[in-house]
Amino acid sequence: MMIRLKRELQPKNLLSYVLACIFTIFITIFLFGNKAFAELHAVFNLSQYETIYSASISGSSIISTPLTYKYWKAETIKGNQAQPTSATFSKVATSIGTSNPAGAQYGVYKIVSGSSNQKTFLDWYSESVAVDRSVTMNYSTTTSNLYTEMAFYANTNGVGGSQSNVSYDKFAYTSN
Amino acid sequence: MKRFIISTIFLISVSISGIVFASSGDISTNNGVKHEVRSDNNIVTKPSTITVEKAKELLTNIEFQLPTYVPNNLIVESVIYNEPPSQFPNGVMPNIDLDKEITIRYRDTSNEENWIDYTTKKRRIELADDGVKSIVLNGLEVQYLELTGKNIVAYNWFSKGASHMVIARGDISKDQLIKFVTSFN
Repeated sequence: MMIRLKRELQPKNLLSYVLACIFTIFITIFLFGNKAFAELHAVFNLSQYETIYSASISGSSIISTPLTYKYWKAETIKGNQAQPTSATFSKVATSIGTSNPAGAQYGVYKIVSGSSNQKTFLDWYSESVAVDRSVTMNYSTTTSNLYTEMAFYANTNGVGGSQSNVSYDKFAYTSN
Repeated sequence: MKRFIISTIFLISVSISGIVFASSGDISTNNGVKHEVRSDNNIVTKPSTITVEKAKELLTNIEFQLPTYVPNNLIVESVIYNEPPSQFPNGVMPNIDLDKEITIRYRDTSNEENWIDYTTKKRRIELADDGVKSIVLNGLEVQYLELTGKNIVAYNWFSKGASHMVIARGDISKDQLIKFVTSFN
């Protein structure tokens, strides 16, 4: 066993292993360097009574497609994590959107509260994710199981493309 | 050379596995709908593509309706089923029964730019955009929205315990759309 190990650690064999490592690094960079893997991050802070929520988001349509997208949104919401009572949507904005390949479009935007109707907005519908858009609204609801949903058609034909490329980004605002 | 090739294959396999694992979130599947947890309060959902028959099975909580009139040349292209996750990691619990929904896309076989999306679910949908009008069709109160410049119109109404929303794009006449909307009742 020791003899075999020593043989494996001879300089010429070590050189093979080192070259394999270097080669692997290059191959990995070549294969994955240009891929924007799903990496979503968002900071929601309900510690203040009035907070502008913002989320910088980038991600890929789940699993099967190479299409990726990015967008940014801002929502001014009143609430308090210790005593959640109500949330007021005063502005929803999207910008800095990109898709690869180009063509991805927004679909319907929803605000779904556990205690009320579903508010549905078509303001962004069929807009390219590359288009900046800010929509003012005046909608208050309780924070009971509150979440929003933005539909994305990660397709070169946008909303007119195949529905198999639609995905929904859901954001939950607080827990009770 | 043999050591180099074997080592390279092994290392590349390990690298790919690691990258794929690291790039995917926690994915769960329910009724074919995939939910990928991206963060404590963010989940991305990929709907399930199903058949009309399966849609009837999944939406037993409402009286699932299909239009008795569809404009010429439009046929069912796809049916998708979407439902929220049962719970976000931060504790928010959507109501799956109220919010699971079916969307049927009808597309014009002679001009693919013309299509209609019909969505139905139990929760009451309210179009909240500026410019929404209230109209009455066949005794039903219907929300109507026209997106000028986009060639898109939307109809939304609540009937028999379910919401019905229609979004249409392209050169489909208003008469045809009204016949489509009123053919659900």
